[in-house]
Parts: sequence; structure tokens; C-alpha cells
Amino acid sequence: MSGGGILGVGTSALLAYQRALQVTGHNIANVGTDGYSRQQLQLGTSQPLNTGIGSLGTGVATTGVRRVVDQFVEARLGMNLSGAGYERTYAEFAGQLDNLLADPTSGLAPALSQFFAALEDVATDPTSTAARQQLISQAQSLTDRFAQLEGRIEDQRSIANGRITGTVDEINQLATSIAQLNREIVEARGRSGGRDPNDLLDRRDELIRELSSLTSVNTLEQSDGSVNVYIGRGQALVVGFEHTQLFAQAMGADPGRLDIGFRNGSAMVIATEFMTGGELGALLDLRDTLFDPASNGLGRIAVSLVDRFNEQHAAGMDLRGLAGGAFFGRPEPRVFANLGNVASGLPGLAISDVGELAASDYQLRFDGSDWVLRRLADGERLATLAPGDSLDFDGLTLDLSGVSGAQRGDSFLLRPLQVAADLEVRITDPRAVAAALPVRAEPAVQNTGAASLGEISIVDPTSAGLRDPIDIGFTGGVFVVGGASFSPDPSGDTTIELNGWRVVIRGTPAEGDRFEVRDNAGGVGDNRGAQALAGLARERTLVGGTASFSEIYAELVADVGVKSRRASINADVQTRMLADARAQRENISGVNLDEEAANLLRFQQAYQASAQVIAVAGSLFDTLLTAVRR
Amino acid sequence: MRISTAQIFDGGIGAIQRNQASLATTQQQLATGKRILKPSDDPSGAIQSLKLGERIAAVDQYARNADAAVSRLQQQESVLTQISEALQRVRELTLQAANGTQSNESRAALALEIRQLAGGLLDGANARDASGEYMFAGYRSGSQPFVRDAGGAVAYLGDGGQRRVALSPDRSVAVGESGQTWMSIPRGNGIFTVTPDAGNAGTGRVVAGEVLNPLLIDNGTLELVFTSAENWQLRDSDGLVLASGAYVPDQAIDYAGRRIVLSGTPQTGDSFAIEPAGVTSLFAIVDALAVELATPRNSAAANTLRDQSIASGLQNIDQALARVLALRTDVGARLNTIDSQGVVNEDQKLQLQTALLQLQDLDYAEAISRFNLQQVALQAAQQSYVQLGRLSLFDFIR
Repeated sequence: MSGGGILGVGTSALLAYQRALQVTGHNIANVGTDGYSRQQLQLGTSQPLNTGIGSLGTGVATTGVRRVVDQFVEARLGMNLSGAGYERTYAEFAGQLDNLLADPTSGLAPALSQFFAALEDVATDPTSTAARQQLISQAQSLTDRFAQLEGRIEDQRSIANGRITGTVDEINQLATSIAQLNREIVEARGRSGGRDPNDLLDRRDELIRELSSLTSVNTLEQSDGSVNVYIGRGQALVVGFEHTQLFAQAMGADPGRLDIGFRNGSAMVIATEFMTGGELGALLDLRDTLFDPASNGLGRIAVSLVDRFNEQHAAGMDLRGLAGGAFFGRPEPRVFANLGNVASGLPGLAISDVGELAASDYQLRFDGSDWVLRRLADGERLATLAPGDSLDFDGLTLDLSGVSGAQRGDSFLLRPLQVAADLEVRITDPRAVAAALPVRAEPAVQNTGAASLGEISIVDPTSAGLRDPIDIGFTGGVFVVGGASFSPDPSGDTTIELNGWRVVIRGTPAEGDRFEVRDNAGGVGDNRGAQALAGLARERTLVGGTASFSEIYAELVADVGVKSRRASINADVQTRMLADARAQRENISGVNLDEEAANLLRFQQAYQASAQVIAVAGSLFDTLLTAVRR
Repeated sequence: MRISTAQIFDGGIGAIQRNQASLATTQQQLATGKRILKPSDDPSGAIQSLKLGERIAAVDQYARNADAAVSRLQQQESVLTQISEALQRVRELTLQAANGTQSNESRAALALEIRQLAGGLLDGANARDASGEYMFAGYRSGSQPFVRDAGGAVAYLGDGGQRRVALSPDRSVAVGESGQTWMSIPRGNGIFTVTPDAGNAGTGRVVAGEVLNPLLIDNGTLELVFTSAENWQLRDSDGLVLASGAYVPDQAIDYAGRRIVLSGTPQTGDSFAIEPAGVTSLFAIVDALAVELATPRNSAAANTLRDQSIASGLQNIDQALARVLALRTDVGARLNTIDSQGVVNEDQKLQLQTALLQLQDLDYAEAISRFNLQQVALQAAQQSYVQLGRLSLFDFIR
């Protein structure tokens, strides 16, 4: 063996440990770099020298620099990032809406109870202009409160829309960068004979992780080192060096609802329903599961209140003796035509029974021969209508006679209830509050029988003869009204309905007794109208007769509260899971400074030892020279 | 297990942040005294407290309604007292006038006072409440209900409506009164009246007209006619004789549920009308008395007629007084109802408030101990973080 061989061994070790120290230094330098995976220098023995006595080691060789990464852990982290991004975004919005609706001072509940309290005050003192004025201002603050609440929901919608646009921009930038990195990685691999450019891979992984918190991501690694990225439910975002440019734009019936799409040649493809998971998925889901139910729930209360109140108010009589007009005003149900519709005209939509309304929007889609009606809140298919038909459903009346020339795929969005922002109080004159009823019924003064009168109620305020004076006589054992006669009801309560009013006579009158129904003009002290209006607060006339106004509001608050609670619990769970997944990744790929310090010592010592080997080789040579010089 | 340096720091910071967040929540609970800070903390509790708050507001509203009703009813009560006192005075004056020692002149003086009292009665019936509404006008409380027409008779322009105020979801009380009550006072015994004909020449007078059996009395008009000073006939409105008999003063004549007792000496042709009582107005009763007393009477027959008018007037005044008394009792009963409902409402409010407090309010003992525990946890997290951060192998490589 020669001294040259030892020198070679020492030199190779010196070089190898210099590199190892460099790698360790690189790890220490990047301890604060996001997404950095620790690297290891891979060492191996160099090609041995085969001699007569067997193979002789020639030193150490560096075979490569390895990035310590577990692809499964990376994939799990990506999934957890999407999950956490989704839940955190959802919880953030749900929490805000929740606080808004149930706030003890700014929610709807206090405005509702103050309004009805003002009504009670009018009922107590119907001639007081102050009480009537107070009622009108409370009505105004009630409509303002509706508008504020709807406005805040609308604010949330537009914040969400802004975030959608921002998120789509971010996704596009990430897609561009990933495609660019794909190119660089493939080129780098080509230059280095197939070795991985570790730092580029780290950067690409980090970008994919960023993408994962925005939407759910699937990756497929190609043999050339590039990676194909699919987002949501399999929508290709990056394929090789190419990426799809997404855009956010309203493309359906609702101008306030952004769709996610991309261009395929000249065609625009809508991919909204494929966008699931991550922040984007949450932002898209919020609209269907949070904002629309809240708006529609609020709208249902608004519409029911307005219609019920107006109905009762119209049956009343105001301080001037006139029939009560509309107290509140509300916009008509809205219908939106889809942007690509071929059909001309719009379907007619009207509210027919506020007691049956469901808090939902509806979709009407033409399948080529029929229109299919779907309730969007629960996705239930309600009916199939032939063109030109009309239908009563969920307290609404739909009329298709105005729509013609429909083609398969045409659709309309029916939005009957999102009116809370545009309610108005029609009455400005305090005297126009109809606190009285237009007719009164009393037994004649001369009556000798034991019959009494129940309250008179107004069945049809528009009846022409409503305020005509009518005498109900009792002769020959029957009640005689005009030309008609009614037998006394065996139960003792006889109901007589005429001219749009209804009155109940209790008990049996004496022969010749008379009951008078008279115009109540001048009846300024009458508070029956106001009492009937105040009674609306307690009546359970909504949702098929099971709930009052405040109860459906409570239901709405509960619904949002439960969603918000669930979202925040899910967000907590997902955050924990994300922390676990991060920890797992850190366990494998993270830099530990103590470990690197140990490596630093180890490689330094190895380096020093290698230097010693060279020194020994040198002294061997010197020994030989000294021997020869003699 | 490998732990990366970043993990040590992130984990430490994360623990500190979590502890800080829960500490902040507890601090907020302590500061507000509320258990539920936002509805999602306890959705069902939040809804319940929303409902409880609403019911408390409703009970408060009922209390305000009751206050308004009480003040109105108390005013009514004082007007009713005023009216009953005036009626009592009219009654006293009438009794005084019935005294045989009175002359035409002294009766005229009494009539003058009765007239003044009649004016007071009209004022009472036209009384207004604090907000200027007429109290006895039914629904037409905006205009004066009782006015004298051209002939001097009082007419009622109001209606029969009665305003009610809600005291609870299913209990209401009447606070308005219809003026009809002053216009529908039954005459005589309330069932029928016996009135001597104004042209009677004798001194026959009605001592009593009593109801024996109300079921037998129909709405027909009868006439008791003296065919001679000793004999009477009872005829119906068509002149058909229904009964007849010999006249014995102070002996009862019973017919179809009625008992009529006459005394004095009637003359042939004198007659007495027996009519269904019908109703009259408070003002007509008092006015009739005033007119009667102001009219000079100079014959025995005329005196008899006057005595008869005074007697029936007294009977009518008693009916009116009974009506006022009944109304006062009724108003009193309503005030009691309001009182008792007020107690019920107060109880209910207390219960609701207790429920609301239990639902919303913080258990301070629990919250403070939780706060302390969280504080200890935060301190531990901070200290261990600092300790851990100091440990580095590099410190030993010198």
C-alpha cells in the first residue's frame, strides 16, 4: 500500500465532512424558514480497491443530499389544512351573525316587543295622539331594525364575496407559482442527473400547503418530478407546466352570488359546485347554509308581520272614521332569470298565505318539457309544472303563464322573502292608525231577554254594506236579519254573518228583542282594533299555526346559534387535528437545533480526524524520505 | 421521539395563547356577571332568555295597562259618587215635597233646587277624564254625549261601546262606560207601571203595583177602568174586558202575575193605564219631578195626580240610585280585579326574573375558582416556556 492511498482516503473524508458540516449549517440557517425540511448528507464508502488480499477501502463518498420527508404525513397535513381553513372561516362568519341576531339590544326581539308595547299603549288610550305618534315611531324603528339586520347580513355577504374574489386570486397566483416551480424542478433534475432539487421541492410543498388551506387539494406526482394539482372535487388546477386560471363572477340568476369558473377555449365553465373544502369551500357554503337561511328567516318574519298586521289594520277604523289603510309596505317577491335563459318573460310570484311560508328560496328549472320546482333550503323537489301552469305551494302562488320559449336548462330563482331591508311604514298621520273597528253591535235598550252579544269581528273589510245599520230581531223563535232568518244554535252561541261582519249572540233572547249593528263613525274611544293588533304578538298563526312572530325569531336565533356553536366546535377540533398533523410533520422534517449541534460536533470531530489521517500520511512519506536520504 | 425546535417554541406559544383565551373569556364573564356571552355559548339558553325577556316585557306592559285602567276607573268612581249624592239630594227634596204641608210656592222653590241638581247630573254624565275623553260616551268619547234638545229633553249621542284594557293574555277589564246606562233606567217596579189618567176626576190612587209572577206578565198594555165608583173593569188595548170586580179600597186586584192596590175614591170613567215598565233616562226622571213640583195644583183630583207623580218619581229615583250603586260596585269590583291580577303579574314577573337570572347569571364562586385555575395554568405555561427556551446544546459548545 502506498501513502498516496491514505492521502486519498483522508482527502475524501475531509471533503465529505466539510459537506456534512455545510448541510448541518444549512439546516441551522433554515430553522426559521417556513416549510423547510431538514436535509441529510448521504455518505457511502467509495469504490474499494480490489487487491490480492481482498478489497481495500478507499474512503468515503457523498451519494446525495436527502430531504427528510414523509409523503403520507404531508398529504395528511394538507387535508387538515383544508379542514381547518374551512371550519375556521365558517365559524368566523357564523359567530358574527350569531352575535348580531341575538344581541339583547340590537337584535329584533327588543324592537318587536317595543312595537307591540306601543300598540298596547294605543289600546289603553286610543284618543291620545302622543300614543299614536309613538306607535308610528316604534313601527319605524322596527322596520329600521329589520333593515339593519338584513343590512348586516348583506355586509357579511359582500365581505364573503370579497374574500371569494381574493381567495380565487390567491389560488391563481399559487397555481402560477406551482406551475413555474414544476418547470424549474424538472429542469434542475435534468441538470443534476435526476437528483432532487431539495429546496425547490420544499418551496413547492409549501405552496401546496398554502393552497390546501384555501381549498381541498389532491396532488399526483409525475415521473419527471413535476406534480399535478387537483382542487375541490377533482378540478385540475396545475397539470405539468400549465395551470388553469379561475375567476369569480356572478353567472347565475342572482347578481349578488359569485360563481367560480374558468375558460375552456372560448367557453366559460362554471365550477362552483366542485369547489369544496378550505376557506373557499366555506365561503361558498356560507351562502346556502347561513346567509340565505338567515335572510329568509328574517324575511319570513317581516312578510308575516307586515301582511298579518296590514290585514288586521285594514279591518279597523281610524280616528277620522275612515277604514284603516295599509300600515306597512313591503316589496313584492322577487324573481331572477338565469343569465343564460332563452325563455322570455318572468314567472309571476305572489304571497298567498303567510301562515304557510317556509324560510327558503326556490329554483325553477326547465327540463325540456316541464318546469321542475325545487325548494333550495332542503333541496326537496316540490312539483313538476307544465308550461303556462300555476301552482300554490308553501304559502306562495306561482304563475308560469308569462313565460314563453323556454329551452332545456333555463332556470329562474324565486326569492319571495328577502324583503327585510325594504320595509316601510306607510302611515304618517297619527290619526290614520286604525285603533277602532268600523261597526259596533249592542243589544237594544229595551231588550228583556237574557241574551248577550259577543264581540263583533270584521270578516271582510271591503264589503260594500259593512257599515250599514242592521237590526237583528228575534221573532217567532228565530233571528231575523233583513230578509234572512237564522235559527238559534243549540249550543247557545248563534253566529250571524252579514255584510262582512260576524257577531255571536250568546243565550236565548226574549221575543221581540233586538240587536243593533251600527256604523261606529265617531267612535274615537274604541280600542278594539288596537287590541286585535296587539293580540297579533301572541297569536300563533305562523308555520302552519304553530308559532308566533317572536317564536319564529327565536327559532332563527337558535338555528344560527346552533350552527355557530357547531362551527366553533368543529373549528376547535380541526385546529387540534391540524396541530397534530403539523407536529407529526415537524417530528419528521423539522430542524432540531440540539440535534444539529450534536451533528456539528460529530462532523467537526470527523473532519479533525480526517485531517489527522492526512497528517499521518504526510509523516509516513517523511519517514520514507528520511530513510532514503541516508 | 424527535421534536423540532420550531415545535418546542410553537407548542409553548400555542399553550400560552390557549390559556390566555380561556382566561380572557372567564374574565369577561366575571366583568359582565353573565354566563352566556354570546348565543353560541349556549344556544338553547340564549333562546330561553330571549323568551323570558319578552315575557317580562309583556308583564311590565300589563302593569302599565293596569295603572292606566286604575286611574280611569278611580275618576269614574268619583263621578259616580257625585251623581249618587245629587240623586240622594233629589230624593230628599222630593220626599219633602210630598209632605202635605207644602204649598204650591214652597214646592216651586224645591223644584228650583231640583233643576239645579239636574244640571249637576248632566255635568256628571258629561264628565271627562284626564285626557279629555268623555267617560260616559261609549266609543264616541270625542264628543259631548249628553245634550239638551230644543224641547229641553236630554238626548244621548254616544253609543253602547265599552272600552276594555288587557291585564294579562286572557284577562281584560272594562274601563269605559256607555252613557246608555243613564238612558235605560227601568221605570216603576221595573216590570210594569200603573199610571192614573191625567183626566181622572176622582181621588183614586195607586198604592202599590207589585209583581207576583214575572213569567205571567206579557208586553201588553192594560187599562183599569171604573165603570162606576164601585166597579172596575180590566180591558186590553182593544177594549176587550179581561176581568172585572167590585172596588174595595186597599184590596188587591190580581191579574196575570200583577197585583195592583188602589185606594181613595175614584169616579165613574176614571182610568189607570197598566203598561210595561220600559226604560227612561235619569234626566227625564229628575226633569219630570221638577216640572211636576213647579206646576200649581189646586183641586183634590189634581193633588192626587201630583201625589201619584211624586210617588212614581220616587220609585224611578230609587231605580236610578240602584243603577248608580250597581255601577259603583262594578267599578269597585274591576279595581279589585286589577289589584289581584297585579299581584298575580308581580308574582309571575318575579318568577320569570328568577328564571332569567338563573339562566344568564354567572356562578361567581365557580367562575372565580376557574379563573384562578386558568391563571395558574397560564403561569405554568409561561414559566415552562422560558425554561425550555433556555435549554440549548449550543450553550455547552464553547
